[in-house]
Amino acid sequence: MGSVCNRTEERLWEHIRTGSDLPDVVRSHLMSCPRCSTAFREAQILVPFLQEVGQVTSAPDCRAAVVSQILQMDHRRGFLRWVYAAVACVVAGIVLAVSVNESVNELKQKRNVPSAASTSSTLHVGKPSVAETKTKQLPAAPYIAFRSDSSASAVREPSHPLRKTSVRPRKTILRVRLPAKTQPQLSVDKAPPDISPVDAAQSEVEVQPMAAVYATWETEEAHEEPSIYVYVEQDTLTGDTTTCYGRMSADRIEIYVESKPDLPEERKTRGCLTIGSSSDA
Amino acid sequence: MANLEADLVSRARSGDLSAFDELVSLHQDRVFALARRILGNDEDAADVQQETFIRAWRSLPKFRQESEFATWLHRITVNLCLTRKRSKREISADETLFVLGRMHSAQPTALDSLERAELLSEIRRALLALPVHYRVLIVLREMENRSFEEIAKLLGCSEGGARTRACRARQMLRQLMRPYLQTGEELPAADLFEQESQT
Repeated sequence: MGSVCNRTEERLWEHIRTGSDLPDVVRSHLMSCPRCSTAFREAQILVPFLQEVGQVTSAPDCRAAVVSQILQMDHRRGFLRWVYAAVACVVAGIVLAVSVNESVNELKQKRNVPSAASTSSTLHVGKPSVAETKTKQLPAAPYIAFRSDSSASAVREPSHPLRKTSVRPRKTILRVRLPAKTQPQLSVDKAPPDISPVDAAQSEVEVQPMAAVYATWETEEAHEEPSIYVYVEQDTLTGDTTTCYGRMSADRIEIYVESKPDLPEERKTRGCLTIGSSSDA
Repeated sequence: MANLEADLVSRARSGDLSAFDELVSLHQDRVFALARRILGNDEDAADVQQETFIRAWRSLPKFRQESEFATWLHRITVNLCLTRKRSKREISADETLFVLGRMHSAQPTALDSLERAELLSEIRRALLALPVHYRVLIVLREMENRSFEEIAKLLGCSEGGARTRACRARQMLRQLMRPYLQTGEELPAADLFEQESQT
């Protein structure tokens, strides 16, 4: 069948279906083409039957089923959102708790503050541990958020309350050990206002809280003046950042870690603070 | 009507389930009919009808109201029908030839002696024997009287592509139905119009 025949057949079917006029050129082609005249005869029978076959008299009412499925879907999605948030918080809390002591103790030693804990018999011996159930869920931390190297400039005590002290590639790990008198109290909460995140306008990196985990514990030695540390760690390859805030005041250390949100799982930064003791130092 | 629908779509996009419920109510019959014609049975058509609206709800935020809501909805329906037929293993070209052969080997029956119901059932069978991408064209063009412009939008192809496919679909359908379409004596072409005007 040539293209003329194809066009003719289309016109013929439309003519039978809708009663539209047939142009003279189609009529004359039909007279001279036996194929098309056969096609016309067949279409004359077929088309009305096709219309009849295509009639659908009753359709089921699916509104109730659709609405119910949508509600179920939304409920499931909402539930999963809560589950993910809860799991993220628990994991972040556990990761923090496991590493906080070692890191802070190491920091203390670097600053040459005499550690009373190293000689004190009242020291907490061994790593304070978080609740067993949480520890079991702890994934291996890919790296540690508190970081420094041996140079003094890497982490230093700021002269004013809040200061970004370093932006460095990860993988150099600062381990400062401070004696912990008590087990750290972890709370998944927002950071207190006085150690709120770095001013985004001043910061070189965008910092947004994701899971704020706040660890507090008492130390053996008292500090006269409260000091606040802010460490921003940046992955030089990906540009992802993790921000840690530490406040040492009186005989208390508080750590607050946050990570940039909405990153794919494989790129998610996890802060890891180790709770150590003098015996680990 | 168009304004009402646009308003309902806007409300549904912002999460108003009652507005979406009204949209379902407005379109469910046509969606079912379209699915029924393509799939050929009520059960599958009802499944597709529901799935169409669930998909539509999920994809509403992406719907930019550049096309009509009905067109968008029918496109989802057609896609679901095509997917469903493929997942249920579409009848292959070989099988089509087999059906064709079987139908041809049946004793050709004159139209006047063939029961009307039997012919209808043969047409249904022939439609189901068509590959689904041809069947869709027969449904949209010959049963639903849609323009090629609309068909092209629904199928995501060019108008020319839709015309070509429709042409092949018609020829294949005629070929499948040929044993049942014998009109006995071959009339001269000129008499065709005369016969037509009499009927």
